[in-house]
Amino acid sequence: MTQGLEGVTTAILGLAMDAASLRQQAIAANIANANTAGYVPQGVSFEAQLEDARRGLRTQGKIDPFAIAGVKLQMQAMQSVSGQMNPIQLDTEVAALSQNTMQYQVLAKGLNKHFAILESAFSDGKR
Amino acid sequence: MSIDSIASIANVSMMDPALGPAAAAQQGGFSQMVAKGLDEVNQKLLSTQTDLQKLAVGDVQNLHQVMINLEEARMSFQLLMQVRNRVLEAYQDVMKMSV
Amino acid sequence: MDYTHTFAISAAGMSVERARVDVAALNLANAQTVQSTDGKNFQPLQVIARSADQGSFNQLISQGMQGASEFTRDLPVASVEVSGASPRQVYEPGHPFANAQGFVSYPGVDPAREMVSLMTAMRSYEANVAAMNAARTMALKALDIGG
Repeated sequence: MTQGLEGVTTAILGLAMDAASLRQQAIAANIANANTAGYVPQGVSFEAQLEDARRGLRTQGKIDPFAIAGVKLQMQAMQSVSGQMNPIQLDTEVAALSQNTMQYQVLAKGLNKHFAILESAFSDGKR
Repeated sequence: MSIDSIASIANVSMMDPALGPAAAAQQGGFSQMVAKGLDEVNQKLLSTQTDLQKLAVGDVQNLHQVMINLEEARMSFQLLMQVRNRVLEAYQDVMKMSV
Repeated sequence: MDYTHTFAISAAGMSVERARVDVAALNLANAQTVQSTDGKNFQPLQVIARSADQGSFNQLISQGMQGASEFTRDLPVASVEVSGASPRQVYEPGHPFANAQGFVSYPGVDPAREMVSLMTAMRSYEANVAAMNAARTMALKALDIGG
């Protein structure tokens, strides 16, 4: 029953948290296999698929639900712009891990506050 | 965010603390004041939704500004709720009075 | 300025320092390798760190063509180049690679200089890590706004 109440925000935040946890697994795999020969670095391309949503946000101030319907979350091989596989640099991976953790916490906190506002509406402002 | 139902109390006089001195001067603008207050809170809440969506999509400009706006929106919404509660209490007090 | 740029900045700095350490280690490991008479074997290397080229296409692609603040244009980029130090000659007349005068040429690697650059690279790396941790702590504290 609560899907109608700002369902887009909840959906996109949930999707972003899914992407962040999948990315965490990819980075952990990269770090564990830093010295393995022939290992292909993995990544998750989430923000790149959301170009439509970002454009909608800039122009209209909200996301069209269809823009996020087609987002697929999967681990892919990371390639540089020239199509080659970059070797794994350990400090870059650890920095990415740190940033991903922060992103997850930011999303969790944002979702928390979002639900807190809705909840204060339901409970009439009483505890 | 459906807060249109609160607009039904527009004809009850309301003490909005931010507009108190100005409102006391003129007697006829209370419904406009209420509507304006509602609109402002609504705009704040809508802008926090946009900010949260930007966070999720990866368009982060200013994290602390987003958090400050979220907290401001939440506080103004809670203030609105409390004001509504007080006004309802006052209305019920008035209705309880035997003619 | 958002926190994602902060991590990219510190990561770029750390990559430069790692390149310095790698090059210093390589120079030290090859300090005693003999150069043949035409001097082609090992040339001592050095790291040149520059600010990233502003109009570089790769940079624009990686920033996604939008939200490129002025901070990301000044990211350091390290390039490894031959240092051009002249080889040092050691008098060893019985050596198979000695030239006509009995001198064997070794790469012009100064061990003291390499050790110093190793230590400064390590300290700079630690400083970059401290900067990244500080930025992360600040962003986490920003999350605590409003309890």
